[in-house]
Amino acid sequence: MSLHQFKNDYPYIKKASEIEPTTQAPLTRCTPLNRFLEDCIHHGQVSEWGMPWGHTTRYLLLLFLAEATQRGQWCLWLHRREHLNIFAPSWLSFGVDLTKFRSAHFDGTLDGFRPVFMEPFFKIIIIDSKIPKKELPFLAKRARLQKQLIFVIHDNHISGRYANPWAKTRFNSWYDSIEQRFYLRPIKGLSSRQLSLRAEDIW
Amino acid sequence: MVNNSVFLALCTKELRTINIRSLTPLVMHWSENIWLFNLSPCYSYWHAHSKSSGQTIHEILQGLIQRYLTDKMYYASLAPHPWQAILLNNLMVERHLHGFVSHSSPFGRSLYNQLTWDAWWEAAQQISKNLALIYNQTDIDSFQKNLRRMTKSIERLRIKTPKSFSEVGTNGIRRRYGYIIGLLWEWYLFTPEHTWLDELDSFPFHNIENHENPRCQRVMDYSIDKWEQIEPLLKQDFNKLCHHKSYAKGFFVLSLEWKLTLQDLRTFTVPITFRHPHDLRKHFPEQRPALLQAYYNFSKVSEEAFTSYLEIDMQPPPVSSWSIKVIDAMTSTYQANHIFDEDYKDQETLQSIDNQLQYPLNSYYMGENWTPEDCLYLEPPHEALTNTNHKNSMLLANRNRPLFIMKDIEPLEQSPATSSLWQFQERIMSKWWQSAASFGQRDYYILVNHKKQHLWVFKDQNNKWFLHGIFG
Repeated sequence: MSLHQFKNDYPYIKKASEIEPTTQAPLTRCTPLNRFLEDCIHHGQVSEWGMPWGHTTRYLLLLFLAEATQRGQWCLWLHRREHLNIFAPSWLSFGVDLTKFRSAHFDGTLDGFRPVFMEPFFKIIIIDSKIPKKELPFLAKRARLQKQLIFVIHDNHISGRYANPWAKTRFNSWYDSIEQRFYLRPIKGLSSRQLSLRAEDIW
Repeated sequence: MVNNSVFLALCTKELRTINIRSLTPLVMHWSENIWLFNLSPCYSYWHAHSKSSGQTIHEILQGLIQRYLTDKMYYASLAPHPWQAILLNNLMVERHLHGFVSHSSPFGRSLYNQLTWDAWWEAAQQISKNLALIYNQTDIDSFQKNLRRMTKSIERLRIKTPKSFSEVGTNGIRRRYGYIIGLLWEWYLFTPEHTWLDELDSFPFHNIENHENPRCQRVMDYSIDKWEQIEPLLKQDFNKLCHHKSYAKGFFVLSLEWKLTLQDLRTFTVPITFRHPHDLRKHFPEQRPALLQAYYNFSKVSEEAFTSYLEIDMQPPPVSSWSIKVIDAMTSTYQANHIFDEDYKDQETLQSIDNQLQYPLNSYYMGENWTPEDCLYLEPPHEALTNTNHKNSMLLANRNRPLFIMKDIEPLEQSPATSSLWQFQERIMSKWWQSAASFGQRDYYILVNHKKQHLWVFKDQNNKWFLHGIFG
């Protein structure tokens, strides 16, 4: 059978080189960040971010939330700080559509929140706390099955020494208040590189 | 942060008791012709309906009231506090203003400002009959005495309306006329910006008990003590409840009472509550939301109940029987066509997920207010922020504010060094007329502490420093 005949008989079978790359709409409206991430972050995976608490780097994740909520996708932010409230008017001013956004306080274990991960309702879930390691396989499986994007934030920088096989990508981020620049460095999922973003590009 | 609460006072001569729980499960027979409805637990339910039907929540409520009443000459008033709903209702009756008035509408606000002393005294007489739910007879007698004294003083001083007396603050009224009248005055002046849950606790709201609510009982053939053993039996009972003869179409449960009896005849009660009206029949036969809520509360309550056994190194006795009773439920006959409404489906799924969680999912709304703590609502505000220039300037102002704010503003122990104050942000004025402990003028700065954390701090007019938020 010639290749031409084979192609005619089986039009749905393609050579690997002919398969069009799967394109996804950019996850943020920040072009330098999208270019830096090279589509390495997808729905269907867990991404781990080291963001020291109070260093203003959580604004980077607001870019993901703003884009998703404006596209009509539901997003959820789970946090552990009982003495704090999310100041939603500020989130709104950064483009987060509050009608598609929910947040909840949790006690560090996901036991009381499992129903959230059993439904594909929330497209982006951000867990703003370290969670027990045993939860990561569960999160990775649910994210994959339901095409959800789950971010896990650590209040400190994460080290590449202790790998996390359940997270497809891992990043560290920090903010230089003198130069007024955000920095982002991948630990896993991308080759060694560093992104520097001006604060005004985000704020 | 502003919590929304909604109460409806309805004055009518004919209310068919069969429809009494069509709006909410929490209903009180306030006086001969007045019924008081606490709409707060069902507000999200009605809000979801109003959003998808393109009507305002007031229009939906108005339509439902008209449908359920045979007598079209009714007086209905909606307010964030039950006392305000009653006052407004009495004024409507006095002026023969039939129909529906919301306290948050411009007309409602204007009407409320015209409140007369006659309407106020009438409401005070009505509440005195309900005070026995909370206070003892001595307190009620003293309230009656103080009320007579207050009436005489107002006549003598020739003060025409309560509004013109409102400059006398709550403390002044309390000092002159006692604790209860002080409370009534506080409720009269109440604005939703106040934190007021404690005040609601002292309001004599008594839900009419429904003896016909579904209930069931189970006596164990063998003793059980583990959740894994309890769960399948409980599931059967939930399914039994939803096929009970009094479980009608449109029946929504808000709370259940699960009373367990141990083998030593000690009993403990596990409340099973839902954040949104929940239809058990819709979740037949899995009953996941009800089982999850039962599990969360069982773990919490049993831990406390079993402490006395564990303290003396004794294994808690197994469960020998239990009874389950629906406590709060509403029967909604509201019909709307939501088949093609994606937004309504989303709201339905969201409420179903929320009913399965241990902690609530918070939604946020922005209100028109310049102080950061008052422009954040957890429930849809009565008046939505419209697309005005004002909204744009509010958004711009909030861009400089942090992602997280403190639930309670904390004083900073030490004045920050000038070098660590990174940037002046804004100057705002507190609502000094609302609270004596107000900060007055606030100057906000970003403070970078030794951990390089960016804090949102302010200096009040007494040069004291406070921590108000953290840039995430």
